[in-house]
Amino acid sequence: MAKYGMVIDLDRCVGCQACMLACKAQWQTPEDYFRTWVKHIGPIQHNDELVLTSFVGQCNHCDNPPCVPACPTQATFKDTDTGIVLVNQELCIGCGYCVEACPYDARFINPVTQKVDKCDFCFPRLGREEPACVKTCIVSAKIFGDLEDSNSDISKKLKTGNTFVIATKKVNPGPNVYYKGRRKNVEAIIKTYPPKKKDTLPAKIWSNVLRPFVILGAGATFVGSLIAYMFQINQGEKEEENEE
Amino acid sequence: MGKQISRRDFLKQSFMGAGAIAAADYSFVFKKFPPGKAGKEKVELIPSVCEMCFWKCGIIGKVKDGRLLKIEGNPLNPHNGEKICGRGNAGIMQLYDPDRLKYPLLNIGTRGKPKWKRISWKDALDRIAKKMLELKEKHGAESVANLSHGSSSIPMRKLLKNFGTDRIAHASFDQCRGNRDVAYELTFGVGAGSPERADFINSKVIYLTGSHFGENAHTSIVREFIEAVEGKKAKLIVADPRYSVAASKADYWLPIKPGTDTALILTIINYIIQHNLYDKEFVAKYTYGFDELKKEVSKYTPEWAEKITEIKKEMIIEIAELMGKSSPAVNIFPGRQSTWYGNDTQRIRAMAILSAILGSVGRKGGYFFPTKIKLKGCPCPNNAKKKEDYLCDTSGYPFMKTTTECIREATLKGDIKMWIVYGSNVIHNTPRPQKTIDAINKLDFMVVVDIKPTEPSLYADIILPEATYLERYDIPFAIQDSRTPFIQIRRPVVQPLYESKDAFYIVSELGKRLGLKECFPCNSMEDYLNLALSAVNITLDKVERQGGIFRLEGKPFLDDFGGNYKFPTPTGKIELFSTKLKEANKDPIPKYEPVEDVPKGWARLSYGRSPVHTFSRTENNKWLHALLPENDLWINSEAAAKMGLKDGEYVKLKNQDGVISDPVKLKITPGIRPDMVHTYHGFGSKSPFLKLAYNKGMSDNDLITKIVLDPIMGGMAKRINFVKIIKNGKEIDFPFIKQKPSGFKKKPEKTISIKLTAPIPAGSQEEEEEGGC
Repeated sequence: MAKYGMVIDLDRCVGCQACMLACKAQWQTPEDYFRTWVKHIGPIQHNDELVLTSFVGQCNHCDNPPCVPACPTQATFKDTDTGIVLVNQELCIGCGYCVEACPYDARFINPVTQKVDKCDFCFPRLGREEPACVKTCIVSAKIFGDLEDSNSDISKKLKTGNTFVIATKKVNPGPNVYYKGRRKNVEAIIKTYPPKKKDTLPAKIWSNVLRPFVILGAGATFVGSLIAYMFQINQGEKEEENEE
Repeated sequence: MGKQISRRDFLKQSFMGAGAIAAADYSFVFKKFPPGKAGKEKVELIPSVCEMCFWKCGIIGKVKDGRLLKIEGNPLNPHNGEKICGRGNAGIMQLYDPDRLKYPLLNIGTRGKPKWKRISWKDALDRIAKKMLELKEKHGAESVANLSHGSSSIPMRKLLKNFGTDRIAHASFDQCRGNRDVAYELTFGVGAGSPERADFINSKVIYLTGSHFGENAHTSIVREFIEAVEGKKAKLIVADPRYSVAASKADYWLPIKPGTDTALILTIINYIIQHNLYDKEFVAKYTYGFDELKKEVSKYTPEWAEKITEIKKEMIIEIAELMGKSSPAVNIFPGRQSTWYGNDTQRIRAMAILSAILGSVGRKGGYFFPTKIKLKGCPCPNNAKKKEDYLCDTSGYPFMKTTTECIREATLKGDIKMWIVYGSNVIHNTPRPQKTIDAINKLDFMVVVDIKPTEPSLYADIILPEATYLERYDIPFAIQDSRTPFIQIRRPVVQPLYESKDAFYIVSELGKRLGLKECFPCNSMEDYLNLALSAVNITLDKVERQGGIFRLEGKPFLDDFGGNYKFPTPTGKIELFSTKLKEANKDPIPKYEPVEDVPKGWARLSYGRSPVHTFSRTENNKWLHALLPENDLWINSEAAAKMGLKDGEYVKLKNQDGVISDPVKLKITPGIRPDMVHTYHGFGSKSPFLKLAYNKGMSDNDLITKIVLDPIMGGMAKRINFVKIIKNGKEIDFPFIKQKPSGFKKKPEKTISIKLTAPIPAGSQEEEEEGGC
């Protein structure tokens, strides 16, 4: 049993985006789609100081991932052996509920496959090579490893203290991507990109009301039509948001 | 540096390829995710050398069925190891760029508005050779000029010298770092090198003038820099009018008034001498002209410098003392692109002198020595006339090489009839682009060798499509500027696409047609490489089997010479007082000379690098374009508020000569002085054949129309141009905002209690307290 996680050292990070491109090269995501991100912040005034930093992020592989209950087909699941949140592409129907449910906007519908796409800590490389982003990081700002193993590099890094997760008291799904860095930088990141409280109606109805029925084995046709219906509702909502 | 793997591990990995996913411990992976075909099939790992920029990182191409799948770092490369930057990762999209030049092309339209006709290589080379021989007959071989950039252009330069012309210019000299190398040669007898030979890892203090590591993504040096600053806690001083990524890591940020760096350096030198903080033993043993230096700099006091540089005198004193106390492990970094204000060689001379009096030359933490690696070459005599006989007027510029400006001037005068532009975007990299175009229009003939249809190709009579770095061999790279010198081989990772050819083919075929057979007598680039490598008793095959790297012993530090090092200068010592400059009637010791101040209502135009682009070479790369499709313009928030400008809106710039720029998006920030604006160089392509890059962002080079040459080496200053904003057709003046002397010191990290919206600390309670949060 392992629990994989990552520490991102913002003090080392220079915002060069090599990680994003290594990830893109590994997964061949379409042009404007990336599984990982480096969002530049600043220079901005933060209290009485200047801040120039980067929000380096990806799927947080949360302890209580809101995307998992949002998935109508159980395509998204938390792998019990690794703690990695995975998407079984064969089961995914591309409904986008998980995309809506993620407080970090870490998921997207891949326009080529029409299925959900996101960071999986380079699952197929596991045990052979480090994740593409970690391997290429020119300043070794990303540390990947098993949080359960107290001798792993990541556990040692966490023991040095002063680490944060991107969560607030209201939104805390138990992320496993940790951040180290000057306080002003971490504060600027969470101020600029706070985790979003996302209780979208279809996802909520799904996870609280309908999901138990499906699990109990309701007819496939019935479920299928429900899913299609909810997908439309969801799309409708999206369009409205865009108009604003 | 980097996790090193043994050669055996490397070969094992090469052999197993990516088919090795199925490690026994992870069998569960396949229970849930049966491996696709890709998991089982053999993927070849081919070591080569990157050329998304010129840092020469070692790479491994993962290739399957002749198609490149992914590029990663070569763990055997002592510099970058398994790390490569974003551009390196995106190299695959340069290879598979649909807009690449694919076939030799003949322009049957007009210059600037080309109509292309595909022709054969034979036809193209016949035409070029015929023209060259005709011009040689009529006007002499020196009527042919070459403007080049990059390693693959070296064979062409050799051929042209053999043909009889030395009118060869590299933008990297006069538009970039020539001043720095001349300054170092004058002081230490050897240039500043590439990679720069900074021993950051042992530095206690690092001083940067405008160098923005991180925004420049030269992998190995950024890596060592961060390891020094964040890992080993070296004190970092950054003098930069902009709050750069480097400044954001700094212990001291000095938002210096642009153009006054020399004043600050000379003041620090004076303070260190006056307060006996210099390395007396080192100065006595290794330097020449200390007494003259002491006398010359005595007028530069912190009080004086505060007025000039707008940096608080207390801060100047604090950093001078810090440097003195940390001697010799102080790194005064020479910078790279450094043709800024016209007096740049003397600025870098001052920085070199500061290094010398701190005793940091050839010492741990300072600047180390290169190790000469001598390889063999084909006999290729230089048949060109002496440069002095025909070069443009270099009187007054004692250390000038052939510059783009020389070639442009000589072309406008009618002395040059043909250009061979090799991998160099002369329209985008040389100030006053219209002058370049005017010169081109006077030519009888122009050939462009490139991988992409950049601006110069619009004006070419013939275009030759070169193979990209992933499809060709190049001359061997002897990496001398390293503590662990090595030889590295660029080899084809995949076969050349379309009809693209490597430099060897182009030059040897052209040589045959010109009747020049001495330069490339070998049958192939492989033969040439074997000949070159025989100097160190190794074969190409052996280097390739060893992962493309052959390491040699280095002698980087003074201690490696038993304390008896003779500097290759006329005096055999570090020349604080330069005998060569004295001889050339230039200041033998740098003086502070003010540069033109920003006129009222204007702002100084500054430019720099982006980590995801290289000059104007990568803007059409699909992946890099996705990350940064256009540049933005940094403008101070206080100034912007007074001018009524909003973040994200598009404006144009007008320079002092009335040139109007492309539209550019504003980035309003407090992290830049109000008397300047800043942008990334390389954008605003005017070539419609580059479908992604065309008309995206603003070309800073269009606005650089004032020409001032460095009085020592003839480099072109690029930060002496001033701009105003044009919004909705109206010109807006920059407000004058008086700057108080400043300077910022990093605040110690404080323990702050967590508020509701603040990030939640990770880990246990005990860890929180210990870590200060």
